[in-house]
Amino acid sequence: MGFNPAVERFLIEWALDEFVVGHLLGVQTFHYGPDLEENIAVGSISQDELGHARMMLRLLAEDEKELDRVVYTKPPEEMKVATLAQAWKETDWSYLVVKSMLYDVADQVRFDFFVRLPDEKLRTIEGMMGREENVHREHWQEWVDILSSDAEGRRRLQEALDELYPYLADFFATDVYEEVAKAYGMAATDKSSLLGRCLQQVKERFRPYQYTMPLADEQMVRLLEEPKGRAGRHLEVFKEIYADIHSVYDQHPEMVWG
Amino acid sequence: MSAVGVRQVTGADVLQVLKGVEDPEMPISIVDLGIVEGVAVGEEGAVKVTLMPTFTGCPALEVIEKKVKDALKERLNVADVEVKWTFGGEWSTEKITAEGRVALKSFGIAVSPEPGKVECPYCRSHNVVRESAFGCSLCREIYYCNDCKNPFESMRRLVRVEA
Repeated sequence: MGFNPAVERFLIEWALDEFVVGHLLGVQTFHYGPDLEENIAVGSISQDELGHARMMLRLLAEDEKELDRVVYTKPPEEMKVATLAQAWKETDWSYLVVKSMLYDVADQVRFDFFVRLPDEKLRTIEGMMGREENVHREHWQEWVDILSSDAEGRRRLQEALDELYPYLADFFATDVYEEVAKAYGMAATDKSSLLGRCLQQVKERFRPYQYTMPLADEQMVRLLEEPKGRAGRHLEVFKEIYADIHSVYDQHPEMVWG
Repeated sequence: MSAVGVRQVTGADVLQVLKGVEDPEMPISIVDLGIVEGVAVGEEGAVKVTLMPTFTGCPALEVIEKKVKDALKERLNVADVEVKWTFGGEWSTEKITAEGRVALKSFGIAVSPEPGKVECPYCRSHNVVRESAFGCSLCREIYYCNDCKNPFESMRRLVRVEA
């Protein structure tokens, strides 16, 4: 719909992140837990994230099969999905809580960047998404609070933080922000300032429980030069996720809903 | 060719038909649910219906779209129908009509008149507690009534929180 290529790339990267996050939360609903209400909550958040992906892609193309092609016809190395979005451990609830908390905070920083872009066409998707994401963040914060209430929970969360926190650098390790800002003639937006904002918000959310962040801010900034998922270099588990996501499409590539 | 008998189809005709299109997840028409944003009839009789989902991830968009097209074709013989989804608006429970509220209540789903004022659809008590912000569909959340001891659902109301 006539977007600058940089803006198009920004929307596709974002949509693929949301799609993978939504897909994995959908998988979690089949693990039935920790309790029925949570199962329902995870299912709802999953649908929201998939809905966000659909909404962003609809800005680029109305036709369902065209949208499918964006998601389903790229080889893995062309899917620049953030490592944080694809992080996944079967049946590890603490890991999923930390992953979701970190992802949603990083996503909020990206959303704040997005809402400043001077483009009426983009304004059409922010209202609902903003409200839904507020609910998600507060939901995961409740779980951080619950799991932090005893020593075993804190140990598990710290373990997950140690592994997942460095992935926040990869989330912002893309030049797309600078390119988008340039396309709209805005002041340069460098990725290190976005990462810095994100790290500050993450620390505020985990601070009440004295968690230790495994890397200093300077180390995180250096990691921006070593993109992983953002450069198409994925975690081992992504092979499985990729195959899972493609399984239905590959059998019936011409199928349409409705 | 799109006509009711010999006269041109009007927006009111279209709305009347949409009143009969039920949401796939609740016994309430899409008009009463407040998701019909606009109806336009072109000079050639082409109809454009603009809808707004309750939540972005609503899995029923394609189904609703098909129901709208089928109903307009069947009832008004209009074949040229465009259904456009808009995500820019902010659907909220205020958009549900009075008739819709009654229908939902009889189905066991509360619609609060304002935040924090949820009424049990069974005994009308306000002595209720929210069990979860998420329900069996994206637009509902789960409550429990401390008086009549019934669990029930309420239409979900989201508010924008400035970052």
